[in-house]
Amino acid sequence: MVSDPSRTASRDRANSDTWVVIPLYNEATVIAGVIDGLRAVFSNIVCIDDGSKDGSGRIAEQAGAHLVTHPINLGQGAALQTGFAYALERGAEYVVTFDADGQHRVEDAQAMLERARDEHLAIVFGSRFLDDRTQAGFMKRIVLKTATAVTNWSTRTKLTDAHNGLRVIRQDALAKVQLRQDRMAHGTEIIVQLGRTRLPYAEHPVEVLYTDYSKAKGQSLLNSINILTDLFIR
Amino acid sequence: MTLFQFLLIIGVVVATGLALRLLPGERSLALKRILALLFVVAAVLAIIFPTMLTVIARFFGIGRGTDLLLYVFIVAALLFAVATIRAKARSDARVTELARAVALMEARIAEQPEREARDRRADASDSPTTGRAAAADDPESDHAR
Repeated sequence: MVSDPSRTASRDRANSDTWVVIPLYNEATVIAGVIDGLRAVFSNIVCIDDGSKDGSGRIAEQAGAHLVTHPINLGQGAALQTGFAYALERGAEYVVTFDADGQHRVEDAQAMLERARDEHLAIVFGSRFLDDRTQAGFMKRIVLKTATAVTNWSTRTKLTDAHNGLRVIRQDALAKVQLRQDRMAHGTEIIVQLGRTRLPYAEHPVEVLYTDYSKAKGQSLLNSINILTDLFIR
Repeated sequence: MTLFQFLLIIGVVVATGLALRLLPGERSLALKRILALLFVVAAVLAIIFPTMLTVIARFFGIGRGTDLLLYVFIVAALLFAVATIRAKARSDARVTELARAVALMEARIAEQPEREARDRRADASDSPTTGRAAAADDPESDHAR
């Protein structure tokens, strides 16, 4: 996932008004590479270590990220919300949410941020289904499409990929988000809440890199059942 | 009254009393007390006059009073489960908020020395400027004159 972003590095050092928020849970083997890749473009990176047991937090800190450590494991949604609070506290204008397992490309994040700036968008969602770069398996496609259909049905949004971890959110939209679901359904909850802000949003085509590593860690079919039940039972 | 009926009544009264005493929160406590009192009265009546239950059961189209009791018990157990799950979700949300506050505070404390160091550097780079400004204001050193 670490391709050559140095080409644009000098120009994008200006991204000092942007914080990259990375929920981090037991990703010790890949997190340093992810942060290295991001640091070429983004100066402010915060990892929310969600009670990792493999020293992920320390590695992230050594790689040059700011570190916030949950004293106990709370789930990815809670980690995102903590990251939002942290970034807002430090005067962030934009927040980029980025997965720790290296499935996103830094170039996509950069392009999305530029698009948010150029088109005055409050939210830019990454979508792997807007073009055919992403190689998703058949079952994975069904799971994600179902999750997306449910999300679109229960929110007022029209999105093609609801559970993509790559998003750019402007500070005014961010201030209105208060994620309550601690588990994975935050993918939907964040869209519900962002949709309610009625701020301008867009989807941006991104490539999701299904490495063997992320495939092994990714959401299983059973987990998508969890996502659905979490949504309906509170 | 049989001995078992007597024991049952004691059990119901004691359990309700304890539940009321241990019930958290002042909110709607009066309402809960009234409900508990009604429950105790109904339970005692049902224990002393079991045939009354059967009459009520017949009214609802159920054969025996014990069946009615079982159905009511199942519904009550379900309601209890739901209430417990909701209470746990609320308490989880509070734990999340607490843990988040702790994490953010720790980060603030950890970044404090960094920020102070940066402020010191800023002060150090500031002082020569102020020094120069003072020199410029000083009439003795004004070479233009």
